[in-house]
Amino acid sequence: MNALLVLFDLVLLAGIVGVAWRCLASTDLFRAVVLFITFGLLLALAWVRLEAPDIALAEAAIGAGITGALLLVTLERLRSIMAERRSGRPHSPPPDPTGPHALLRALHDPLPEHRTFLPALSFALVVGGLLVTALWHQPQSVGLEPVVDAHMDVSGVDHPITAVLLNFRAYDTFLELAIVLIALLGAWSLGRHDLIPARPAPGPILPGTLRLLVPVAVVTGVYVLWAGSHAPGGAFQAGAILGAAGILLVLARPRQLPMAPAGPLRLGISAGVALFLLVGLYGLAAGHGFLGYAEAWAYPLIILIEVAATLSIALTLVALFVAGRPAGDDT
Amino acid sequence: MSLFYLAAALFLLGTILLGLVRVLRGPGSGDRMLAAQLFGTTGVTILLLLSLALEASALVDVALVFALLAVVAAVAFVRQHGLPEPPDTPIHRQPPDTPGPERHHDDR
Repeated sequence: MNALLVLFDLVLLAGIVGVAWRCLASTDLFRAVVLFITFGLLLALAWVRLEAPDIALAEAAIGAGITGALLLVTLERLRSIMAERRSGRPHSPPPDPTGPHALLRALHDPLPEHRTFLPALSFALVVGGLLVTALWHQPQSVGLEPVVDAHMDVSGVDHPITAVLLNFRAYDTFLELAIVLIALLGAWSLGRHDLIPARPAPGPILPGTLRLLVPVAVVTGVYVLWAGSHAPGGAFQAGAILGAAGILLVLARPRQLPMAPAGPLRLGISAGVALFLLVGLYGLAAGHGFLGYAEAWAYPLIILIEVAATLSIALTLVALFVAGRPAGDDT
Repeated sequence: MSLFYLAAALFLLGTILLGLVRVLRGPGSGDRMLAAQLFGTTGVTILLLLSLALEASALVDVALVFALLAVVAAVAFVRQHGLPEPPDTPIHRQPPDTPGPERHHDDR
């Protein structure tokens, strides 16, 4: 049994390294995207083997589902932009090598290999050396697991990871939610983009699939959120699943839907951070410290924060996917 | 019995690595995408087998999420390559001076 497990891990590791290599070395961008989707799948299996089912759940939702669709749509946009650039302006002056589109061009016309080999090799050596040095001096310790286990009875939940994320180290999770919000603000500050066009589906398969899948995805998202209090799951995973359901709707809508009204959208997107901050300030005022809870209130407060965070993460993922500010608030 | 489950999972992992040939060789986009979709199905099975072999029931949830969300990439692919394109989609742009209610030009 153990030898078989070791063999499984070795094959998995070889697969991950091989797929990552082919993904980075591929000159065909579509092939690279498909390899990246495969990479996400193998990575989720690796998290399972590292006994981190929480991260495997997040990787399954984000890596296998959302990132693949995001990269495919990005590729579609990139192609149409490049085609227009090549056909539209044949006599345009030579482009500025440091201009905002230099990165876009570099993707399509990469430097010759002999010019990138030495920098790439030295970069890999430096990063590899740093990693080896860091791991070499890793102190032998059991980590914080006994401390967490000893305090599980005051955390308000039964799953140690949720206890760490939303009680013992709530500060980290609060800042993570803030980073997600800031990422969206960054995307919005780049201006507005054309929506992915709506296309009517020829035939019953796509609408039928959606009609079956989206409700199941919503139920699964709520289930994963609920499971977070006693088993792997929680707000980030549930938000990713609900966000994927939203992305499915955006991708496959047969006709233009009205845009979400800007006010409620902004309220929903910031609800997680806002509620977390309010609860944290209340804890400060009530004498439990910033982001501390009274023991009796820990469970309902954690659930409240997780529900708001799930809503915000799902909305943020869909908004990031659509990319660009909602219409009608340029003031 | 868990030995059998583990051996089956290892075999399925081997089929994924074998299927990578289709992703690398293609020749068409559809071949590559379909191979990745089949990897998703295989991944669900591997997760279910591992959950039995390692007695970790949480892996069933991971398999469920996988089975649900592998379709997102397929839908993104199908709407690019499988659907007819209406003539006036903003992504296939008209000349920049065509007025349009929903179109915004940042750098042109």
